[in-house]
Amino acid sequence: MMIKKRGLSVVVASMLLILLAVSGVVIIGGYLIPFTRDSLDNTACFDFRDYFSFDDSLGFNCYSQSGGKNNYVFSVRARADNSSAEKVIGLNVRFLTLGGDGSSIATVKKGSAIVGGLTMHGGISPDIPKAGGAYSALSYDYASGVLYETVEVYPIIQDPKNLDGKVCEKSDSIKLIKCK
Amino acid sequence: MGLIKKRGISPVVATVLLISLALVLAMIIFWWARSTIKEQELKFGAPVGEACKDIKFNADISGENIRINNLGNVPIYGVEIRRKISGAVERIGSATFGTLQSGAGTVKKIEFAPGKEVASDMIAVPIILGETARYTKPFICPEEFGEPV
Repeated sequence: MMIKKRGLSVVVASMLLILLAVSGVVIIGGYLIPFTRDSLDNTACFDFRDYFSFDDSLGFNCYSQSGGKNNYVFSVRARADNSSAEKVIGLNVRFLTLGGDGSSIATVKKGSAIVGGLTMHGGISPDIPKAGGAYSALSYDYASGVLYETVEVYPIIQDPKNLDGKVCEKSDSIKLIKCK
Repeated sequence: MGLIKKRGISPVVATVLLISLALVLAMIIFWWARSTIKEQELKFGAPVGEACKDIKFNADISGENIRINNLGNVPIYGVEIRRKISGAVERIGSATFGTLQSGAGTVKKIEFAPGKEVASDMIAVPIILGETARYTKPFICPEEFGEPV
């Protein structure tokens, strides 16, 4: 008895399956690739979580008061391991009042004007500390009418999507004491 | 019962295809992970920074040369010369020796950073070689392991 075949031919079915697979890959890839890229961007700071630290060896990290102003001096050191150091383009410094209800932020980038009222201690050109670079530790001055209790430092790393770079999580913080 | 004509690929071919697919996927993931995840540099089987605390050496500067004696058990690759100035630690220069073994001493010319020269209150910070399975890389120890020169 002759059976009459019905439905698609093998060739057409194979083509349809291949097309379906390719479409599936394109659709899923279109979602997965940006998702993975964004996730990797969020981990870009992982290498720099302890890149900067406040350095006590230079004898600062304190404030003095004169003429109604508080004059802060603090020193920042880059970690000894210079891997990926070329990715660090600057640092943010954040001052916090007692209780953390008031804050002020300053930004330092090598060779750029410092934003936020911070100045280099010792008349050095605007720079950031860098292992293997010109300075492994640098000090900064800051004057304000506000009495801040804490200062925090945040690395800024290169970001292909943002010329200003990406500000990473806090590297270190210290309580400011009165200079002796 | 009539003869049923089997269609499609054989189990052997299907198995080979599946294994090939799995291998290709594994290779892609391995290649991606290797390029993404940083290899840790080691010294004596521990993170390279751990070896810095075992370094013992002394250093003297004479003219533009530095003399180093390695008194510890960690081979020293070089030294970075720094000095403390007002509110900063600046890099004066460096000298590399290849690998200065335990008990050995050497004299090398300092490669000064642009505009820098021998000054007072300098310290020599040791540089050691970190190792991975594929390469070695100089590692500058933290300044606390430096010696005055």
